[in-house]
Amino acid sequence: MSEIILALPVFFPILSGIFMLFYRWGKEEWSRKRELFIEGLVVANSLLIVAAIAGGADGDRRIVLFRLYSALTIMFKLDPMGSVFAGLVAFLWPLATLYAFEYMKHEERKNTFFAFYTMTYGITMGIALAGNLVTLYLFYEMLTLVTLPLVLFPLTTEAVRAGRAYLYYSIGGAAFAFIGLVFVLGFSAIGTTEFIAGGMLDVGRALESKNVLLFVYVLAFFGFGVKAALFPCYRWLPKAAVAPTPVTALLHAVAVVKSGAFAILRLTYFSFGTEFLRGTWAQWVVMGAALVTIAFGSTMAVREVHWKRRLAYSTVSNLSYILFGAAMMTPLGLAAALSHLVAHAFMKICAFFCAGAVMHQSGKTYIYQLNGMGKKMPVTFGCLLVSSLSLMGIPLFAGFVSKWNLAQAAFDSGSGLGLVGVAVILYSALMTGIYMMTVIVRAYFPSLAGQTEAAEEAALPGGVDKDDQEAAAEVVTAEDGLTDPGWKMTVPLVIFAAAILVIGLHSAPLISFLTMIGGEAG
Amino acid sequence: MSFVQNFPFFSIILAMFSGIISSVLSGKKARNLSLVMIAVTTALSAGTLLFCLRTGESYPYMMGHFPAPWGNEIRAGILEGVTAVFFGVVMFLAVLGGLDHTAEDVEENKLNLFYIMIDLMLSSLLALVYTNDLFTAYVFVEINTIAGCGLIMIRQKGRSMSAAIRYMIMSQLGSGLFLIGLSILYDITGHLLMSPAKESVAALAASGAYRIPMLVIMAVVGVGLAIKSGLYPFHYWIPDTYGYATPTASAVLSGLVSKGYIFLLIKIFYRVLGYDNLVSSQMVNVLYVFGITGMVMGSLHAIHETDTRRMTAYSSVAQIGYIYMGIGLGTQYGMVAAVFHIFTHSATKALLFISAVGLYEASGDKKDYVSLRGAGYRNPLAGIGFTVGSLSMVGFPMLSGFISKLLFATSALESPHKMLPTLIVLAVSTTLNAVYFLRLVITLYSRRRPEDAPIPEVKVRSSWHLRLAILCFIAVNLVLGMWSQPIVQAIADGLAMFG
Amino acid sequence: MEGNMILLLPMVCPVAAGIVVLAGKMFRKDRKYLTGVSVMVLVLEFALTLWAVMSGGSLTMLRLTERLTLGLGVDEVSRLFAVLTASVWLLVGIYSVAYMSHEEEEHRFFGYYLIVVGVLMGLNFSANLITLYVFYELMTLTSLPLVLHERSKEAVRAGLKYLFYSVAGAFLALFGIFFLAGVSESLTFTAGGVLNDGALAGKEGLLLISAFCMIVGFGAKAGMFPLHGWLPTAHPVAPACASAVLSGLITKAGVLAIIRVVYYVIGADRLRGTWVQNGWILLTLLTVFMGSMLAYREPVMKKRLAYSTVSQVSYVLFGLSMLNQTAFVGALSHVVFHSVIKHALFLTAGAVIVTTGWTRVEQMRGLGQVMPKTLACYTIAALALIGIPPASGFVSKWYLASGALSSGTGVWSWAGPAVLLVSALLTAGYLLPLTIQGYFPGHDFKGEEIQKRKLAGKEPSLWMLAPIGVLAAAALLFGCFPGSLISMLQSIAASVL
Repeated sequence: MSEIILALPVFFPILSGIFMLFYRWGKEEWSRKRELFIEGLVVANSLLIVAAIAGGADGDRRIVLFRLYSALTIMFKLDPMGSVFAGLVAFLWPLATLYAFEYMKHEERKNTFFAFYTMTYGITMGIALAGNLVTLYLFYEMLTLVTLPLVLFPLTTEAVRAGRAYLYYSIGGAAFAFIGLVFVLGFSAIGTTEFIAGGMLDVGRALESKNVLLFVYVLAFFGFGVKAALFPCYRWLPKAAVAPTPVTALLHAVAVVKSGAFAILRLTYFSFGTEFLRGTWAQWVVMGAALVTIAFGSTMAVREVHWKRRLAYSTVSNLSYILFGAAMMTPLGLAAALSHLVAHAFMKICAFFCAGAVMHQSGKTYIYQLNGMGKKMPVTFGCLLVSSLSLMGIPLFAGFVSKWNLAQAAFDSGSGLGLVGVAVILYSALMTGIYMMTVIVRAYFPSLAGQTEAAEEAALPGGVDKDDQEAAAEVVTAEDGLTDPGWKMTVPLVIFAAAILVIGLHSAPLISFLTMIGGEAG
Repeated sequence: MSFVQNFPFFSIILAMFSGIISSVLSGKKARNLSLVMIAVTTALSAGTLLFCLRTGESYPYMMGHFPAPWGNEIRAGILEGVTAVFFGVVMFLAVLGGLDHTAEDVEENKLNLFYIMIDLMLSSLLALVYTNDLFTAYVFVEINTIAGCGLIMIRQKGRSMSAAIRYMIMSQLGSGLFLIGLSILYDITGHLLMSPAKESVAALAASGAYRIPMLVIMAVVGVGLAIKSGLYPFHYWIPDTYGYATPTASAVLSGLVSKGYIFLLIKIFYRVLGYDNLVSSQMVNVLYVFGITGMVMGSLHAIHETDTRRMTAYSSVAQIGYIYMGIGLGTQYGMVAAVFHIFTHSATKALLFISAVGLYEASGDKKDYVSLRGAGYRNPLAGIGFTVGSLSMVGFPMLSGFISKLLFATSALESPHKMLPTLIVLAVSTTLNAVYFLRLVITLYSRRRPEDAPIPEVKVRSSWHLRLAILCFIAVNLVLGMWSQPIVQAIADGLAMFG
Repeated sequence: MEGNMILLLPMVCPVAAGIVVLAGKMFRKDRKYLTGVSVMVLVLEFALTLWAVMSGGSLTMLRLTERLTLGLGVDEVSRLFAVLTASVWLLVGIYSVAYMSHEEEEHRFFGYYLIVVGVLMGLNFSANLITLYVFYELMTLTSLPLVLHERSKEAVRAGLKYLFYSVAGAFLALFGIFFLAGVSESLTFTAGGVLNDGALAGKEGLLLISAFCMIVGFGAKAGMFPLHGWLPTAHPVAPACASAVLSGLITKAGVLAIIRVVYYVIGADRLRGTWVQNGWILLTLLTVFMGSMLAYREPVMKKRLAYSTVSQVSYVLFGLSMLNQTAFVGALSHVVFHSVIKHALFLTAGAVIVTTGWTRVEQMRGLGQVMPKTLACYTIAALALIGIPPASGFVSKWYLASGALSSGTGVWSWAGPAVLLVSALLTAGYLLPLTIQGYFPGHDFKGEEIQKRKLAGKEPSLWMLAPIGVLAAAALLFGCFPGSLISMLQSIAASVL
């Protein structure tokens, strides 16, 4: 139990969240003290994680909490790949919480919101630090539950529908992932499901029923892929954009969806093992699915005129970049997948936070309502510009680095589908250019004929209903009093934009670390 | 012979006698007597279990000093002990949790009748668990049926009368078939005691004689008990029965009664017909197909229901399907999983029915989705109880449902042909479970809309026994989910003793 | 940062100045300050470019990852493009001072105008493919505000179309870069190619696909079929001075990128005789012909010039696709000549718009009465573009045609010159009517409008006329004294082929 520091960052936020849920802080529902408390504990938790990582992340550090059932133990383990995800989350969470304070300023039931928000932190850490597939599965399921109240938070009919969809998809996906868990357990060479770089299947036994195992792998890939919004199980993600922006940004662009991708990486590289999977039909199936999703997501994003939903579709597409990297099943593929995991986190959270800032300041949610806001909210849209260029994959920004790695890995793998993949990624990058730059152009260069155009666009097919049209007709040009939001929102934005640039300009240390992970596990 | 060895017999008799005594008691006294009796019999069963665990053996116990081939025998082993203890606990909590509702639903002067039925029910369940001879089994099957009818009918509201009649007819059909099976068996073996019957069945199987009658026996006994336990195509009585009875009755009927029959079926398979014969006769495959069909169809029906009680009842159809699928896998592991799921489902389904009571209280005693909107805020503990139960049904890790699912899945790995269908149906069924159970959970925690019918927006504080029952059920679920290893081990040992 | 820091100056100086100008709106609003700074910076830029070109050397700016470096370097090709860019940019800048007084939001125009030239310098001096790609993308993004400047509905549409085509082309090219990065030690430009034969073994087919993708992709900027669609939409909506640089120089960035890829990374020998070369030639000839046809049928002056650009830039690409020395010389000389000529033409169109507001060719009857000097400059430029000796266009076309005839590309070696000839006739058909009708409007022309608005003899101001005159003179003089330019180009051609 000496490695208790591995369990602390998981349970500390969970317990604090439960505490917040039941503890009454005097008469006022909300107070400054409370914000300080939450921010303090989130930062403390991040520091804990940093301390844990600084103590060495070689995979030898582990803590077994208890035994669920014979070979199934709940166990945490800190290895390089886990520390990448853990470090990423630890970096994002305090900033996102800060942002959330400002964003939620006018909402009721803040207490509930932040209780679950904090709990989610712990559970995401649980996924990052999970030492075996069972622990991962456990926290994966818990993640669904804990984030459900956050999706439901507005409690409108739409939110309830979104919550339901989210729940059905996630639980269904987990049910299929469970099959994978059972098989990994059954065919494990070490008798448990502990993650081992390069896989832990008993290859001799596995080869006897190869096709069944491959089939199961595909099932599990799609199962975990539900959280990563893999086609055709993506539907919940755009719907879930109804949640408050801190949730959509942090959870539906990073924590939740990346957990799905992370689980797939664990499944592929640390459980089944690439040696067993490489070159089989299963590989082509999952890679094909990832490619379809990439193309599909970005095409849908172009068609969508609701800003957050557009970003959600963009997430759909970008997550499959990671899955594409995963499906390459080579060391470089893993490194590329991880690099996109990191880069996309910054880009997308930045983009969502910009959308949130606009919503918070002006209540505008549709893209045709953004005419000319660029000048009024310079910081917000400046950050959005950085994030957009990065998403497009313009060099000097983080997105280019990960795209470069993905393409190099694809060429390196030498498979035909890999080449198609590069083409698909470029197609998607083009679509990204369209769906992000139209926003930028609109914000900075509002068409002088804005009024008519907005009405026209509102009449386009693509899910704009009548209310929206009315809303569009009502307010087209931004009000005069519009400004950037308060420092609690702008500071995280600027930090994220800076992070994108830093990764874009100086990615060598990160990439060499990721390549090291890839080298171990591929 | 140790004194402890008398305990099984004592517990059956005790339950029966308290039923008889209750007939002259007032409702309240009958209730108290019933609770005490359940506690005592559970303690007795626990004693038996401990004894068996210590000695590591099972023993037959002769009733009435008639030696074989005529006598009445019971038999106690680890599996019987575990099951009896578990049934006792669930029964106790179900009665405790439903006290208020029972008092409301049942007319004052008939209250003692209800508890008589409960007592008889427990006695018959224990007998079904412990019995070692087929005749005793048949007798208690009938007693069980009558008690079950009584439990349903005693709530003289709504459709409970027609439900009871339906239940009666279906049950009689089941017992009839069961009886036919027994008669044929007696005809060709000349035994009603299980152990000698098994020997002669084995001899017959070895010689190859009476092939077709043996097959008929298996089919008839299997189908008979399947009807009584509500396996998929024979499930029509379930929704009405569970849906319109008082909560205690629903919990007991769905959580225990159907499980008693399944337990009996497993016992007959092992102790009389011979498990290997069963596997070689393809009978398991038939059960398997029915089982997986039930898993899917039950859930589909449940999704269409708007009345939450009936929805929960349909979910039982699916869960019974799980158990039969486990039996149908035709492996030792599958059987362990099936027995474990008997426990899981008893604990979880009873929890659902009982915590639903708390939610209905907070929603003007309405049972549809719309009325239940926001009920989780109005009665927090019941909401949590229902959520835990739902999650367990969906197979959420740390809860009992996960372990059953895991056991089913791992045992499926052992049988190559049934592996993939099992796993996929398991996954599909999990998803379907999520659809209807978690939809209700979301409803419980969503905001009421203005157009909803008004109900008093006060937090309801349920009576202490209801809350205690819910808490205990949650605890049982957690125990099954987190410390399942010894229980599974006990089941495996117990099944080995059967063999 | 190691190497010759002077190379950084032509890039950083205008970008910084541009940002200052953009931000300057907040504290200095007067026009003199703005235009003064802009022209000063452009002059300075010209000097800095010359300095950088003279000093030569190379510079490593930044390591993006371990293998990707951003570096600058000077070689003959970059000298040519850099000096051309700096001088033309200066002339157009001077013109803009007068022209933009009729437009709004001058700060934004001059700001981005300066930034774009910095980025273009970076592009010209790029020492490897990654750097080139970086500046290529940045050029697209920074020149976008020039297209969007008018902010009319068409301008926004055109801007998005421009962005879409450019980015599509860039990503198509990126596919090739991804591939080439894997089969070469570094992507530093080296005459004759840098590919690694060992790494390339077994991937020849893929190399050809990549090469074709890059040609088509970078060809988007050069307006090559099939990605030419943005050009006739985007160029005319911008202010005339922006259209001029878009047409005359930004399109050349695509040409530069193709030269770098084909001759400095892949190596011409690897493409000779392959389907890539044949496909490329076909595309260029199609574009040449189609551009001229469309220009011929187009009534709006600026659009007509834009179509003409489509056609003329593909002359250059046609020369490059021949993969022999003579045609290469012709192509590079056409880069220079077309740039000079097209600027003169667009600036004339702009002068007409500013002075009279006429945009359609048939409105311009009798233009000779309004601005005879301007029209004379126009005529010289037009004749040069058609290729009438001794004007410059003749020289380049001569080299193009003779290079094609000796290229040994089978049917193309005679079909190419034939298409060029037809296109030259069409060029005459779409450029000369303005001159003819301008000077000789015919008997039925009463010139009511000219009289009513008192336009007769109303030449544009000297700020505008001077650049046009200089450019027209250059178009003529390059044709008369091509010797030094041609010999420099021949040395480049000899090094890469």
